[in-house]
Amino acid sequence: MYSPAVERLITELAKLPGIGPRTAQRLTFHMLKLRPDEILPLAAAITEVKEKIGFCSRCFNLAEGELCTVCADMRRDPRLLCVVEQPFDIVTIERTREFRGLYHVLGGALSPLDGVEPDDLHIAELLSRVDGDVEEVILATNPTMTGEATAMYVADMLPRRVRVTRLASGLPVGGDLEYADELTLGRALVGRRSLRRGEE
Amino acid sequence: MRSEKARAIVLNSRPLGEADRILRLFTRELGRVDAVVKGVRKTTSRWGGRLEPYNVCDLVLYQGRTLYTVTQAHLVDVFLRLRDDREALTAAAVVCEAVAGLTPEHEPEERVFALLRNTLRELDTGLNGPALEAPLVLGALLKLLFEAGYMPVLDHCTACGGGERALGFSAARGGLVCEKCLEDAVPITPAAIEALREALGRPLAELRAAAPTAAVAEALRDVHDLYSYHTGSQLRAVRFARAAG
Repeated sequence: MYSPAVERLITELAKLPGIGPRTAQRLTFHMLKLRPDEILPLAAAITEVKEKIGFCSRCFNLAEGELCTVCADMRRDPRLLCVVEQPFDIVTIERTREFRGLYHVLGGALSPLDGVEPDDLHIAELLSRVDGDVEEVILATNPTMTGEATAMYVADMLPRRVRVTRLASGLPVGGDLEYADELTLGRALVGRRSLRRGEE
Repeated sequence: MRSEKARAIVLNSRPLGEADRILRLFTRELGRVDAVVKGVRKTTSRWGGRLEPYNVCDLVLYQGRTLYTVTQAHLVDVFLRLRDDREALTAAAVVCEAVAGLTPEHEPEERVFALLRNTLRELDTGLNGPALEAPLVLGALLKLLFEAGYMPVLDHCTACGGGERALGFSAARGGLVCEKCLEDAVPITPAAIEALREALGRPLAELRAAAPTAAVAEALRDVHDLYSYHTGSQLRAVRFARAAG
């Protein structure tokens, strides 16, 4: 129906997550309407990102060179290591400005149901990183069944001398107790903390 | 297009688009169905942890053209301790995957629903050993195969019908075989035969309390072969358990 070039663009766009054939068609026609100086930077940006961006050889975050910006930053605390599932989780944690340690990206979560096994993730690399300097490993995998399974597995594998912690589960700030689900509320109760200083 | 109420066990879930998930559900009223749940991956989602795998929920499902959509969810059973026990989680994955593999879509199986729920309840009390050596897992799989009509023959030779001592297990022929009928069968020890019989005959609560053994692991390998023979696929959770063990 369309010329081969248009057809090809629609097909390629439709391969992207969340974009179906109709959206791909709409985006293609939108691009055709734009002036070259409005749309060609997009093509250049895609080419550039694929040419320049790879994975950090140490933590598997996205990196423009051998190391990512976090691993290359000498001001970061090497005694703290935060383990996440995906590179975008690093951005989320960085936005809090509460964490000044280093990261390790596993590349996913263990899933018995989907057949994602330890060898499919960067767990061996994590274990080899946890040497002299690291004092605490914070397991920041998602609070889902697969994330919990991954955290438990990694915690079992880490050496006993390292402190292993997990992100707390609880109620979202600004929410009403009335709307909390039983699982989250149950965890919030189990993980409750004292308001008096010096008490655990 | 209409809404249905169903009590469901979440067998599995996978991400869909930006923040949604597709749930594989085993429901008491509708059998195995897939349902979309919108926005569940957002931290502000009203669903919270209600629709996590292995939870039992009362759902209102809106029937679309190809999939159901979850419009309401009320948590009935949540197995909190299960989530903190790696072996129990793996065992739950094995049993849930087997349920998904052995049950056709849209065919209610009330006995399978009860069996799965009871198995998860028992697993929630913890496993005292590896998942693939647990009598509870062996028992749950055998009882599921029984419900699906694939019960292995355990009291005589499945090939000749003789009552001689069984020396092998044949998935293709559906059970134990004697010395004369070995052919494609894998060797089986008397302890594994005993484990199979015990697992089938004893209630889940007793199996949960029983000690894990190498004989159970051997019997579970044979039962897994039987499952693979009938469904044409292996349980990924079993492969996972072997790799992670």
